[in-house]
Amino acid sequence: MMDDILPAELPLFAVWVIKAVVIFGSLISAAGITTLAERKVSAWIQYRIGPNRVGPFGLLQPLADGVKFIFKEELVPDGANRLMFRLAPMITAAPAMMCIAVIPFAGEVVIGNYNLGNLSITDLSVSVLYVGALTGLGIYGIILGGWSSNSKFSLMGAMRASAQMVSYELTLLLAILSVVLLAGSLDLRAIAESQASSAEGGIGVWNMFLQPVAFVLFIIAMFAETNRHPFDFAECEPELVGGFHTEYSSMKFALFFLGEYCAIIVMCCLVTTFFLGGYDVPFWDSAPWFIQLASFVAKAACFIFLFLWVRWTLPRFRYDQLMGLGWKVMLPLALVNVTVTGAVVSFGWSPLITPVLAVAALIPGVILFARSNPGEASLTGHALSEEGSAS
Amino acid sequence: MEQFLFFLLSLSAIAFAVGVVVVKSPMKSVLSLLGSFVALAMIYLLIGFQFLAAAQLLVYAGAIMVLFLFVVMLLNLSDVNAVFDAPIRVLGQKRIAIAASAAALIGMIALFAGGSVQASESVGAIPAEGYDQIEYLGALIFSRYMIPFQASALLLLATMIGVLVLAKRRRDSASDVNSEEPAQ
Amino acid sequence: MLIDYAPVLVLLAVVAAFASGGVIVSELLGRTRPAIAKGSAYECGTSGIGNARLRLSIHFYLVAVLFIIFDVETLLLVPWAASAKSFAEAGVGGIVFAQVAAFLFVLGLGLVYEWRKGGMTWDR
Repeated sequence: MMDDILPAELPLFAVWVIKAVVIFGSLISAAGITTLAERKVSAWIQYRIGPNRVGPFGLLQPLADGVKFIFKEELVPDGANRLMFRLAPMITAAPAMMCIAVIPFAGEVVIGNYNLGNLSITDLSVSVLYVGALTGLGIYGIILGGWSSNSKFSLMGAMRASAQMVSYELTLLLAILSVVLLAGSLDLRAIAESQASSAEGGIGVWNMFLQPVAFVLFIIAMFAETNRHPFDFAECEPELVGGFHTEYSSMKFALFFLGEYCAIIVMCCLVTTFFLGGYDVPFWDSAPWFIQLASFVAKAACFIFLFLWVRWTLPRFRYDQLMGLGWKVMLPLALVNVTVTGAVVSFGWSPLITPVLAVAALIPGVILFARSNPGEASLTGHALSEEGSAS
Repeated sequence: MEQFLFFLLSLSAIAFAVGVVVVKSPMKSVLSLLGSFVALAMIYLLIGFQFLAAAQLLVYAGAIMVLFLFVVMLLNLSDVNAVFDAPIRVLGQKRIAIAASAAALIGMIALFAGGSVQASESVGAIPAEGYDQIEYLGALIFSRYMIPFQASALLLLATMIGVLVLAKRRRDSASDVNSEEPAQ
Repeated sequence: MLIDYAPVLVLLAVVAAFASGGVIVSELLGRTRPAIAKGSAYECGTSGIGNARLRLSIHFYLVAVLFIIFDVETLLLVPWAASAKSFAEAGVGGIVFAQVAAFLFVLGLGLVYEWRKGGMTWDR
């Protein structure tokens, strides 16, 4: 009966719309679930119960929050630039949400008679560059939000956030570059598939084992890039109230919030794709698409949990420590790692020796660093008290 | 569809570019320039240059515009009119600039209309990887353009040293900037 | 190639509809009870002093310039990274790597200089 109504093959445009709506809907729902998970995990870590009033075990809490956000009063501070104040949340949320377009969630999807193609909104041949370009644009919404609010806390939060995102974006890109070197492609799907055991000419090892240095750098950088704890200086509560969204309320605040959680989810998807083989199911090459999807989601969920776990476990850095870490440790390490990986790939050596070489190359660097900067080996800067009294 | 997108993007690129000059607040000017760059990147994409589009977004929109924003905030030109209006009126720069741009526009239209500049031959559909395939670019960089590639490294080094010298000098001489040090 | 980007446009439309829709709906539905105190910038209860558009530390400027430099560098490395494998297969991996190593060495010098001069230390 269904066959009579539905066409034999879906038109291309319909496939695009279905994928875009379904994947975007899943992203937003996942962001909602993550907000709940954050509160539940924090409660669990702090030996509390957490939200448990709305729905069974508080599962409907995100929905209630969403409805509440819509009906809240909109406040636009006096002296704020009204147009930019309204635009800023959208400009912040959009790049994070757009990144989901190139994430490969699974292989070919076949439902009934319909072949929907690979499970990702699109596959670009330069999707790594697409992701890089969009992460770069995410800064503007934050600067704009902080600047247009006409509030000191907002502006300081925005400046901190943007300087920090800019610094760690380099490490992020360089860590990705060493993965690109191994895969020989800028296509996220090709990078994911190059780690599968079925890959042609590949050795079937996830990049997290071949590129441990890049893996660790990427994880640290993604915390800084999403302005998450322990690098959440943009909204460091004791110092800056709410940071760049101090003056925001209602749905505009919700968009900043959603954008942050979407960025976290996208980063977790990226780290899964780059370092954990994406939708690869270990020892099962011909897994059906829903198993692949489940594998992808499980891997990404582990990283989302890591985000929450770290937030409630580690203390916050100091801002000069953060910048020092970014420029003096992460960036040189990432450069060394790219060089070593490049040598391995260029001379046609086995990628298995990359971790050994990378670590071997790091040791003299670490010794030099510790020797030349005895005071800075612990990443602490100097004379903070001076600055404190001046401002 | 492509034609429609092209015209839409070109129009918005031009509109944003005009906005850069017309708008009074330097902040809005910078954001307008950003819009123009994004539209330009999309035009690059539309004519089949993926890497160029990404470079435009990463370097111009993602990095240089951030610097511009920081500079605008660093200088904090809250009262722009007082700074800019007087000399402009005295020298008549506005009128000269408008006349020069109009002359350039008319010249360009004349060139195209006169047929001195030929539109490149239509080459059919854009290849699957665009015109600037990454591997092709890589091969070119490391063979034909290897000296410019190395020169760019030197150029970047020079920039790095230059900016540090400027920043250090400023920090040493202008201690009042240092003492304010607001958003540390 | 362009057809690959068409779904991105579709997603852009969905995202734009979601973002602007959310803001518009909440502006329509949210109740507004304006008050003078609500309009003032948040300063922990005290009234604000001076303009909120602060002058910023020169550090931010330095960070932005350094970012541009290393961003350009990374971008220049991208074509190499994507095609290093095929260079190696074509037997020119070593020569190309030597060029990249020279490129990275020059920039490494810059990095060391920047470090020694304290350009990367935030509070000074």
